[in-house]
Amino acid sequence: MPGLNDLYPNSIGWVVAVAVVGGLIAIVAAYGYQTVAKFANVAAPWMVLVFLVFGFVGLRQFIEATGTEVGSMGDLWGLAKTEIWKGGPPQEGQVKFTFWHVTFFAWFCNMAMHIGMSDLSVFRFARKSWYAIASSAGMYVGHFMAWISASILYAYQLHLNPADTDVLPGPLAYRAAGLVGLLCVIIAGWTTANPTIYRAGLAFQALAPKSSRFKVTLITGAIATIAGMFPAIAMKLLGFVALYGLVLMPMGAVIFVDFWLIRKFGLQSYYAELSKRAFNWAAGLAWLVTLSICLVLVKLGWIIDKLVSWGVFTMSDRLQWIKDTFTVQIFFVSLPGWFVAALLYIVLSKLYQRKIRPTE
Amino acid sequence: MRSILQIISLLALIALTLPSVIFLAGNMELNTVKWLMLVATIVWFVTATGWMWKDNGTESQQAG
Repeated sequence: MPGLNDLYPNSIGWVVAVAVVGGLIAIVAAYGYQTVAKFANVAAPWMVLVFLVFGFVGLRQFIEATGTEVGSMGDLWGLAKTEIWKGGPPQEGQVKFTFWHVTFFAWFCNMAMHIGMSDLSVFRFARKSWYAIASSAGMYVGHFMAWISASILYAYQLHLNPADTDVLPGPLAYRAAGLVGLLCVIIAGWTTANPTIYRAGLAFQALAPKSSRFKVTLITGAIATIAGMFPAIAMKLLGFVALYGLVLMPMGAVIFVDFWLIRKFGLQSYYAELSKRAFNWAAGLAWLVTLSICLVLVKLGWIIDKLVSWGVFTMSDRLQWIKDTFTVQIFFVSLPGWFVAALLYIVLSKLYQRKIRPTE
Repeated sequence: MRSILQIISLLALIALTLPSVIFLAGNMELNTVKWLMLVATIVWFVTATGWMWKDNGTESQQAG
């Protein structure tokens, strides 16, 4: 299996495994994935509890391995701080993840779905608005709880052998819960991947409505499978997911403002439809400007370094302060970015809708 | 029948989780936990499918 820093597939086995799994997922998604959706519903309560068991088992293993006496919450907190999540330098080439990185990333790693509104492709079938609470179950149970459990198991692996830094969910789960753990990892991956390919297929089909959804989903699955073979993408998932979430986030803000807020400012919702235009410039510009601002903030340190190396500026204390203060890691930029996009859409709509009246 | 299946599947979920709590308290071997979880998993999927699958089918027919 490729490592975190590999760029290209490094074995035939890896390529074949990705091709088989990706192909199967694409075929099932192309058939509409109704059976998988039903199966996922049955598996969900079981899967959540297996995640919880991972945490309990890992905790006990830590207690035994360290010989810690745990008689109170204070003892447990001490064990957590000194043995499980004790911190340390990041692996070479990786960002140091703090508590806030994990919190933000657990919240925003599915930002493309929740904030970027990709969820709407599934929630369009919802008969009650509160069905959207399902998204929070994904975040708080599927991310926060599952990740806490997974991190205990991984920390235990490192505790036993600090040189063993491989992140392999299958063996980790198998060591903690045997066959059930392994089954949980497979089902969790399967039931996550299928709706993703299904809605990606729907999205591509929206670009060419006359095309067959079956074929479009298969092609989408094939593209995703080929991409998955390259560790440059698969092993950089954190940054990649943050980036594609960032790309969709401003449009999620536009949809939210357009549906819930814009009439309160005396403006029209669905303005493109009302004015019979194929393109709403207020939405387009809000997306582009927000994305540009976010990318500049993420790359600010790099931009300043380049400008200094080209002799445009000389590095001063003030410039260093600007670099240190305003450079934002990609994991954190989306939250302020959402508000920037929302504000921009309102301001641009004020100008745009005054200029172009709807043709009633 | 449906109520019986629901009760058994609920008990299966308890049987899935409880051994790990006992293990955490230091009163059970990990191998025993794994075996009990496997049995509970089989019972869950057999019994829950019996009532949840039908529910979903009805739902999608209504939606369609």
